[in-house]
Parts: sequence; structure tokens; C-alpha cells
Amino acid sequence: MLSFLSLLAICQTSLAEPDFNRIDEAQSIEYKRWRMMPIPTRAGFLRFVGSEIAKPEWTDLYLKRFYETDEPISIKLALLDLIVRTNGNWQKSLFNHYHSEPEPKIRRGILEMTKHLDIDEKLNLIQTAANDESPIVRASAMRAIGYCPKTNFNKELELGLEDDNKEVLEFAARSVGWKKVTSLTSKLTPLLEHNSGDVRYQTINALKKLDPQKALTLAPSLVNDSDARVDRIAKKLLNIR
Amino acid sequence: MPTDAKLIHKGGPMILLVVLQLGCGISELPEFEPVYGIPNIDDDNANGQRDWRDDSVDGENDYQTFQLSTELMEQIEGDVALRITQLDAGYRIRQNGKLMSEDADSSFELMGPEAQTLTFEFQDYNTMGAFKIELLKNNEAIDESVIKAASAPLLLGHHLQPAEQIYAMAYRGNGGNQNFVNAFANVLGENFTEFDMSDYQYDVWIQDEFEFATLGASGLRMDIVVDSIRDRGLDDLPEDQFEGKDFPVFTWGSGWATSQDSFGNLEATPPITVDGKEYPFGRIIYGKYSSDYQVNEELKDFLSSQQMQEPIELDVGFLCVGHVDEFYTFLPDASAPRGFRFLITDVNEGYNWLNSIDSGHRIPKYSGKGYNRVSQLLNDSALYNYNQDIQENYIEPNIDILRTEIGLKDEEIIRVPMLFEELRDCYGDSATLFPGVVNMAVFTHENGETADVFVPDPFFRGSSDNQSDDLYIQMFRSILPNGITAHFVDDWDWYHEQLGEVHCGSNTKRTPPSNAAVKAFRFKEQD
Repeated sequence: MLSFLSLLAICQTSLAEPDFNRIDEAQSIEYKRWRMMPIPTRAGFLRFVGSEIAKPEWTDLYLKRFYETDEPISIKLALLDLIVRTNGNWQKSLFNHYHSEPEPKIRRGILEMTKHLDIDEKLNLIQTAANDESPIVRASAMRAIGYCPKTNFNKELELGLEDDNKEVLEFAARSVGWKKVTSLTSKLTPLLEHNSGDVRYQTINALKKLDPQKALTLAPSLVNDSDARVDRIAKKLLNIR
Repeated sequence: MPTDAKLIHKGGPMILLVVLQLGCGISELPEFEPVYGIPNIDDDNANGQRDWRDDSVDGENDYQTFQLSTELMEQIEGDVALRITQLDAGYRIRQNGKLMSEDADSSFELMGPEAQTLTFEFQDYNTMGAFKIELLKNNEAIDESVIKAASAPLLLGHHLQPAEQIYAMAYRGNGGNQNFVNAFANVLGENFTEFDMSDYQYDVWIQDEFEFATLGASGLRMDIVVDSIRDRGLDDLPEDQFEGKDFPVFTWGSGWATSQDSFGNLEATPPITVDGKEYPFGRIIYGKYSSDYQVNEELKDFLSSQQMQEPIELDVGFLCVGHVDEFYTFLPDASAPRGFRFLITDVNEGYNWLNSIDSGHRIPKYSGKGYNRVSQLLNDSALYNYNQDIQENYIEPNIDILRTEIGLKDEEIIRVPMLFEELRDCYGDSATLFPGVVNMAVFTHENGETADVFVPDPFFRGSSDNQSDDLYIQMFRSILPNGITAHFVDDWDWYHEQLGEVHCGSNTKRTPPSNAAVKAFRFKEQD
């Protein structure tokens, strides 16, 4: 009988490189790990299934597969997710790779892996990413800054609050609030007039944390905002039911 | 005053006839009960079209009967006749299988002395029409009665309705989800059915692909599969496994599907009364992520058109998947004011609980998420900020919506300790960090008051093996209502890590509410 992983590989041929039918029980477990395929999560993006495959001894193999195959980006992102789950030593390797990675989605994927790391190299990576040419990477950097409570990223956050991309603005505002960077409060206020509801939401939410009195002063203009979250926060500040 | 009154109950639906006789000849019609039916929308003969479009009716569920009793018809003779006039389109009247009327204003006459049975076949859901019976003497109407003819609305099930069957996808090979399906099979036996996921591209989200609904009226029942426009690996399952006689499959909407078109995002409350208005079948709840990501308008319009379960929209903008089943559920509880409790994930309770246990407690199952001990959860200030935002800006406002829309009271709410995590692949959005225990399958018993529930195993313990050592399980059991028997199901690999839980990976068929059409009729009269 074919193993589960082999079956997954076969059923997902549309996502993968050819020749999955060659996989069978006679192949080594390394070969199966090399060829196994992810399946769609409930949200739609791909992930590899199973705790057994997420062990530190497989980290190097997955890194090798990540570097040496030309699989679709969706599978490479699933590999990055799997690599984090192994709890192995991948950080140095992928951080080095980051600088030569041409695909923004992969650079973002690597950044998103840093959330729980407590290493200095992560900080350098975030600094670099905050200036990335791609807005999705810069937005990811702004998110990542929020997960570095003890590190001063005020310069990067200020840059983020001046970005022309709404996702970057949104997460820069969030991180300013989380980290309570009061020196950037004045940079936040104009964003309450941004045409993106997500930006206005993160901005008023951050102001609420940084300067509740100022948020209260600004709240009347946000009542009945087209974004329901902004409207709710404003009404709550003003004690309107 | 009536000189002779009889209740006549002839098999199947009960038709109440009070026969009035005055003197030696009939001069008044008796009172008639409304005709409640279900629409003939299935395809019993599998000819590819709704049975309504066929020339003849061929199934017991295809029509509702209306009896004109012997006592009445014996008096319909000589110069006395009955004239039946259909007042609205949308249904057909037959006598002995012969079509007598199908348009507004068409009529036919009946003569005695034999009892007559008319059959009513309805075209569509939730229609309200009427017909007139006139008592004729020498072709002049000397009395008339207008009788309502109503078809049942489509109803979604809620957790106080008895469960009949739970379905889930199974892969029993190496690395498969045996633990998951065995948990159901061991408790439910024949009330559990598994389908082979390898037939459906390893799509395990059976909750998302379709929703069971029912039509019911006076002894008639039709189960319906509402097939979502999600159309992933399980797309063909409703047709393969359920479609057939008295069990049609229908889809509302088309085109590009958002995650909100999956039916983990389509649930119903138990029966409620809000500000004096009774909702005997509860109200539908679905979630909206944003203006671009919400339930398909055609489905929304259809659900609203059924009137009985007036939909409520919650804000699921904090969730990566974005389904309402991710953060609340209803459970039966006979001791509760309205017979149910509302369980909702609560971040503050999550931190309160974590602070109450040993901070050194090991949680190795969470190492892939970056946490090996409780202390690491508690010391993660970003995690705290992230969760506070969710509680303040989404969970509490959603509770407020339900306070208004379903009259939810504090004593009905059970706040379930939980944290959310920001997902690497979802760029700001969340899923529950611990397996979302409220995302459970509820197998309600016949009494509607007790249930077996299948809850994601939280794995909040040092060793995966022993559930009795699990601190979260101990806490969760203590907050469940009496009458709820919880079974903790290992859904970690195939479901939790794939951004769903037990409810998402199962689907439950329930017994329709009794007297649904009668209650629906009364509901409409409220407005």
C-alpha cells in the first residue's frame, strides 16, 4: 500500500513537478520527504500535514529542497512554514538567502518566520526589509517590528508611517501602538483621514493606546465612519451605545 | 348553533372539520384548517428537473392532502354544490390525481356524496396563498370560506435540534486521521458516517462544502443540501452521497467564492424571543470579513426571503479563515433561562486562566508555534497586544451585536479561555492558538437538552497520551453545562494546523423542528 505521503503527492500532481507516480514504498524516507506535497488549508494556502514530518532532523533536507527545486512559490512558502515547525537550525541559512531572493513573497515568507526568534540577526533582517522595494515586504517588516518589544525601531516605523502603501501604513500604525512609541503620535493623526479603513482602524486603535485623551478628542469625527471598526471604537470612546 | 360537530382525523395530516348542519339542508360551511405543505422541488424520478415541472406527482412528499369529509359531502347533492377557487398562483390542486387548478382565479366544482381528497402541490419555498370554497345553491353562493395554503420555508438547523447523523472525511492509511474519525465512531456507532477523503482530493472541510437544511409540514419532511459555491475538493460530495428522492441539492450564488461562502460561516441560533418577537427556529448567523469578502449576495437574499430565521451578520475581520464557527457555539442547557448557553472564546479569560496555572507547565505540542512552556505565552507582549486588539475590537463588539439581535444576557454566556495567534501566512489575521474548543461538533440527543460534544483536544499537557492530565481539559469540563458529555478529539495535524477544528471537519444532520410550517405560519402573522 502506498504511504499517506505518497498518496498526497499523487493526488496533488496539479501542484507539483512530474513523476510522482514513481514514488512507492521502496523509496527511502528521505526521498518521500523530498517529494511529499502540501494540501490546501481551510484558508486555501498550502501547508504540509503532520507532526511527524516536522522534526529537527528534517530541517536540512527541507532547506535543500527549498533551495534546489524550482517548485511553485505556493509550495516554497509551505516549505518555509514546515521548516519553522521543525524547530531546527534554519535561521542563519535562510537569513543569508534572504538578500539574494528575488521573489518578494518568499522574502516576506522568511520575515514572517522571525516572530518568535530572539536573535540579533533578526533585527538586521527587519531593518533591511523595512527599506525593501516591495510593499508586501515592507508591510511584513512593520508587522515584525511589533514582535520586537525591546528593540528601538523608531526610525523604521517613522518611515513606515510615511509610506505610500496602505498595508505598510496599517502595520506601522499597529506597531507604533503596540510598542507605545509616543514620539510618533503626531505622525499617526493624519492617517485618520486615509481612504483605507484598515489604516484608519489601526491608527485610532494605536492612538487609543498612546494618548487616550487625544483619541477621545478625535473620536467625534470618526463616528459613523464607513469602516465599522473605526465607528465602534469612536463610539466606545464617546460612550455612545 | 351547530347541531353536529365532529373532529375528523384521517391518517397523515390532521384536517379539522367542524360540520355544521342547520335544519334539513346545509346552509353554512364548516371551518377549515389551513393547508401546510412543502414545495415539490426534489427530483424523485431523476429526470433532471424539479418534480414541480413534471406532469404528475409521484412521491408522497410531493403534495399535502386536504379532506372534505363524508359528513360534509353527503349534503352536497341536488341543487347544492361546492366551488373551489384558487386565489393565487404557486400551487396546484388535484382531485384523484387529476389536475383541477393551477392558476389564480381558476375554479372547479365538487359534488357529493362521497368524501373528497384534494391534493395541494407547491411550487416554491415559503409561499403564502389562499383558496376559496363556496357553498352554492342553485349556482348562487350562500356561504364561502377563504383558506390559507402555505408552503414551508427552508430552515437551517440549530444545536437544540436532535442530531441524527454526523459525517466526516477519513483517511485511514499511514499518517491519517484515524484518531479523529475513531472518536466519532466509538461514541456514535451507526450515527456516524465517514467518507474516504482520497476520493475528494484530501479536502477534509466537510462543514464548509454544504449545509443541511429541512422543509417540514404536517407529517412531511424533506432534507435539503445547500451546496456552497466554494467548490474545492469536496465539490461533488453532496451529489455523490446525498442527492436523491426527497433529498435535493441546491446552490444559491455563483462565480468567485470568498471564504465567507463556506458554511462554517453559516450557523443558526436556538429558538429565541427578542423584544416580544418570537423566532421559533432561531436566527441565522454568518460573518463578514470586509466589504469585498462576505457571503454571496444571492445566498443572502435567499436566506432573508425565508423570513423565519432573519440573518445576523458578525464581524469576522480578525480571522484568517473568517468563519463564525471559529469563535462561538451554542449548547443546550435545560437550566439556562432560554434552554441554551452561548460559548465564546475570550482572551481575557485566556490570560486569567494561564495566570492561574503553573507558569512552568510544559506544552511541547506548541513548540512549532514558538512556545514550550506557559511562561513563554505569558511573557510574549506582542501576543498579548495582538489578543487584546481582538478582544476589544471584535469579540466584545460581536457579543454586543448578539445582545441586541438575540437578546443575549450575561447569564447565558460562557466565556471560554482562549488566545489567538497571528498566522505566518495570513498577514495580520488570526486563528486560535490553542485548538479552538468552541469549534466543536454537537450531537444533541432526542430530548434537545443533553448532548455528546466532540471537542478539539487542546494538548495542554506534557505528554500527548494522557488527556486526564490536561489542564485545559480539566478547566473546560468544569465550565460546560450539565448534560453535556465532552469527548476530546485529536484534530491537531489534519485540522488545527490546517486552520480548522472539529466542527469544520464534520457535518451534522438534524431532525427538523416539529410543526415547522404551523410555527412559520404563526411567525408571519406576528408581523
